[in-house]
Amino acid sequence: MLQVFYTAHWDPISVRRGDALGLRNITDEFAEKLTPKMNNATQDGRWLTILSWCLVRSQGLYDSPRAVAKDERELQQLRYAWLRPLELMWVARTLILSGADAKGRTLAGQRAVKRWLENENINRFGMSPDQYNAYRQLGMYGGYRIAFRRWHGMTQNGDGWTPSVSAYTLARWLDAKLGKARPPWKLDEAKRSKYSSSNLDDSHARWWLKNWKHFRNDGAKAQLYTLPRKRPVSNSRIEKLAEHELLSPIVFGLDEDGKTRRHFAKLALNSKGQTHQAICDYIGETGGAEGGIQLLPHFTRMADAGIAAMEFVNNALNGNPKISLAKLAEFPGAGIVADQLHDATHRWLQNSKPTFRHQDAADRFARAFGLPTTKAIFESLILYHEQFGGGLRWFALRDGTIEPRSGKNTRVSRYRFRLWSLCRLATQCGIIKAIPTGLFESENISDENEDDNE
Amino acid sequence: MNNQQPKWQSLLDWTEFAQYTLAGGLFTSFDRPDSTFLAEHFLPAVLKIQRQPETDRREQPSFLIELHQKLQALHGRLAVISSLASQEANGFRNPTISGYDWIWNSIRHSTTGRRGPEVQHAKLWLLYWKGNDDKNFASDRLEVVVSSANLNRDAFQRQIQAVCRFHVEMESKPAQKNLKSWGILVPFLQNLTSSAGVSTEAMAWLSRATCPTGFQFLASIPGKHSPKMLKSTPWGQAALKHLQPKGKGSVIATVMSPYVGSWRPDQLTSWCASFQGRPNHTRLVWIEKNHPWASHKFWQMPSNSLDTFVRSGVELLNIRTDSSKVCNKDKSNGLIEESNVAMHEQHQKNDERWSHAKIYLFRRGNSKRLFITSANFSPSAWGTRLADNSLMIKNFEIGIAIDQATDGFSDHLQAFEPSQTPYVNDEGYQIESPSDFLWARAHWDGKTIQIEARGSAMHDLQGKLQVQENESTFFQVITNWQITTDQQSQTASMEISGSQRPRYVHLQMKNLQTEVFVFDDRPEDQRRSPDLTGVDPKLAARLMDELLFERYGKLNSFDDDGELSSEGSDEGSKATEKETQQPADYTVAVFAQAREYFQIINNWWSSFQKASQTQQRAELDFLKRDGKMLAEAFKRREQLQGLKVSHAPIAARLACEEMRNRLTSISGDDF
Repeated sequence: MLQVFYTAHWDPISVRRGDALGLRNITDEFAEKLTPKMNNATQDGRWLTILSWCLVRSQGLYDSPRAVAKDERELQQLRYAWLRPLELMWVARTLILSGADAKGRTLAGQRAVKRWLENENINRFGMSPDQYNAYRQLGMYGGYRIAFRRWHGMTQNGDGWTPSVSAYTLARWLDAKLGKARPPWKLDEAKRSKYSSSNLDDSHARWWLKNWKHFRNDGAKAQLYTLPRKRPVSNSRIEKLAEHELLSPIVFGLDEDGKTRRHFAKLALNSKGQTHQAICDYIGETGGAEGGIQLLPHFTRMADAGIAAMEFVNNALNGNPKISLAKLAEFPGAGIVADQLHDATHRWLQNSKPTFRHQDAADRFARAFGLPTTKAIFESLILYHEQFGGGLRWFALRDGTIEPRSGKNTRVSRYRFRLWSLCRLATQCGIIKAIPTGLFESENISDENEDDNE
Repeated sequence: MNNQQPKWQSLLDWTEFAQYTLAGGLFTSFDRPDSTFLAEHFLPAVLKIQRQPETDRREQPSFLIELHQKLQALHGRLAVISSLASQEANGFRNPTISGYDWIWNSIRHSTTGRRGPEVQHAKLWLLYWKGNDDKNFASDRLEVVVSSANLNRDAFQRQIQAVCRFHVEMESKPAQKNLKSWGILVPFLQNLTSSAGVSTEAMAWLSRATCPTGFQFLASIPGKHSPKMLKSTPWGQAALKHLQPKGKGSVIATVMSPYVGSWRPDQLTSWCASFQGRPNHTRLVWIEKNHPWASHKFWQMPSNSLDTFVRSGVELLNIRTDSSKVCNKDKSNGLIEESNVAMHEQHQKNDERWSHAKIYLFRRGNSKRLFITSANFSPSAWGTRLADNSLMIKNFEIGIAIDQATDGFSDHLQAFEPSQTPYVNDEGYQIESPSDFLWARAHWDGKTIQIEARGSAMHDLQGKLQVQENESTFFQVITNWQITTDQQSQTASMEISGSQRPRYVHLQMKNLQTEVFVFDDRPEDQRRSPDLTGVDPKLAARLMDELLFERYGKLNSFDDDGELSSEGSDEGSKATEKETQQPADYTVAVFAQAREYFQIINNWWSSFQKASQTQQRAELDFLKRDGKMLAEAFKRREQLQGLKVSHAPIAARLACEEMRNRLTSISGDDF
């Protein structure tokens, strides 16, 4: 069949441009020690509550497709097909009810949903098929799926889909708070619908939009009790969630992972660190001798010094087509940046003991620097970046000249350990009273889910 | 296609081909293809990769391996042709910009220029889809996409493109009559691939399908074309006579193109005469000087062309994005109503994209033809008549004319008012054929890298090869250039083997420079192991095994986070831990595992038997290769599990033996 068309909006899947120095794997290992079974996107406890409600509500619609599903992957896709419209309707509900105050709330897919709100005849909530398909990983549930698989009582046998005790508890709480926005059938009531064979068509969304017409409705305290929370920009905006007593045993419970998360959240606050480095120094000193935590200060110092040197080169290029290495080395401040990097790599090598699976990547980076001259340090850094960095190359060295390889607005992604997400959850659950000051400035807090466009 | 309005949809939508697998493709682009865009967006969509490029890093390795494996399965059967590096819109852009360079080991990328400085501006995709359910050839389909979209992110995210796309069933055998049905597309592809110095399977695909009726291809190729040649093969504006709608009287043409070339009155008159039109029956959709599309010089028209249009009576239609202010007269009821439409009812006011579409609507009475093309409204694209009536064309262009289709918006536009100033810009770039050009290609067979280059100043050619060896890279200067017998090119060869891997060739000639990736022509078994930036080689090997198992029916290789499930992982293996802690479960676990492995073998065997019945050589070779890889994977699994628990590898060992027996039974060789 012949199709003639103009291309619709396409909001590409946001892909992080991290790993300029190839240190992400060991960074993830450190993160797993400090904030186990989490990911960076897991930072607003309210979304845990909302997604629990979505899982419970959509479970009743999951109409035994096991008989027709080809394999486990297809089964999960069919299950997710009933969940995705709810996620997006919650994004829409938040945009409608919070209006101009939506900024700062994590709302994956909000660009497309805004378009859809302007013209609700658009399919897939304004998303292209690839974006709609990828929403499973990059949408709200995707950001919290590890919590639903790995946290105590969230899903049955940790399957990530079938709600268990904790998820039901949160869902009941939210259902009661929804008031007149609540769907017109009971939370636990099994709801049957005509089975759809495709997980990408609009039938599931149409069903939800037809049967949950009140999703836009406000309530007495809809903002406070039902909407995702705004990201705090200072400790004056810290809030304990209304459902904190339900959330706390789930996130910071008595299981080993919960205790670890609680321990490091408290340590981070106790550090009183004004910088990320200071917080890591404190955790390294007091976090215990086992598991390589004592290497944390040295690693973060080296990684930060490496990224600072990368940023220095980027700023020196300043959109120009090239700059000579010799000229770069003469830039004001170049010597200090290079010395800090050299010093940090030296310290790492002095302290490095085989502890982590990917420690060789950190050792290799540290050993890449030979002569301690400014020019030689930058040369080694750029060559290392081109050979071992992941994702887009920022620049490359050709015949003594540095040439940019990606736009000057490349978003810098530092090597971080999910401490921001952990501490935000801890304040929402009432475990700690404030987020350490040093985390406000230095974390990669503009996570990919907040704004699904680069 | 009767008066059908263009829809508003995604170009990256292949949900219609859910039951098909891509088996080959040819893609053309003016700009050099963006490997990051291809790897993270385009290829995952067309190859139907379920995993995501990067979320929180958990899924990235399995995404990369899946992409690598799917590209390996298509090795050499995907080709991209773009224009010369020296002709790119923003000047030379070095291709080594991402961690995805390795995709060019499997995808053939070529630029035009082997025959001289020829501009490739066509945007054509040909996709060969193989049916998954029914292995008969009859289920295969050929998809054809003609658009204005280059293969980069901006084309999809920041621009609006016009697209014509269709697919046809492919017959089991090639036929000359099928090839003939595609008209000008066939010589166009022959010339394009010749200019790029690349061979593709496109002709074989076209010869197995008949071009549907109701539309036709029109194309341009660079060169001077005599009237005699144009009679048999009408290129450029010589083909416009085929676009005349039925009927009598002058044809009214409506043109929308973001780039308008430099037109003299005689050139414009000649262009219009080609389709029995007249300049004063021509309407050009254009923008005001304060239009958002003018602010970044997205749209361009030189002032001399505006003069030509004004003097010749061309009507300028004003397309506005603040179109809510534009009142449209509804012909049916005579009412005046406000409209939000610029190009489409879903074209919202806050849409920041700019139109890159090139649309021509030819109308005579109620009869009309819509032409969707890559060709801008410029003499470079359509050609200039010379004194001897021959036609000089500079670009490769391709388009499709559709009977009785409309553009859906130009009827709603109003003419420029005297107070409105059309936007002009004399500084904009023109797609010209420069006298200086540089073309090259390189491939490596595992021992020798062969480089071929052609340029306007061959005596000034310098080159070097970047080589990777373990964890270091270095350059080798190319010294042994030889002039080819036709005196047109230079070739060089270098020995690269052992642990060394060629990465790219850097060439310089006067002020021009280019970098070309080295196509990996090694035998399949040598290029199987991926060298993917950011993925631990050991993890890569395990992921490859798991994806292979998954291809033959293994469930739950990966958990929902995209991480390897316990069995494939070499750390924290839940199953193995369980076995160690609860010896009583051991027997059941081994049986369960053996059953799973043997199911994989049976599924592979079933596929092989099916392919044997239909005598599909390529499919059989593919399955044999997979069979060997399965045996090797079971062997590795045996070794991996044996390291952890001494009694665990029994199932893998049995599976390995069984797989080898079956391979021996089909080939007679010992495995």
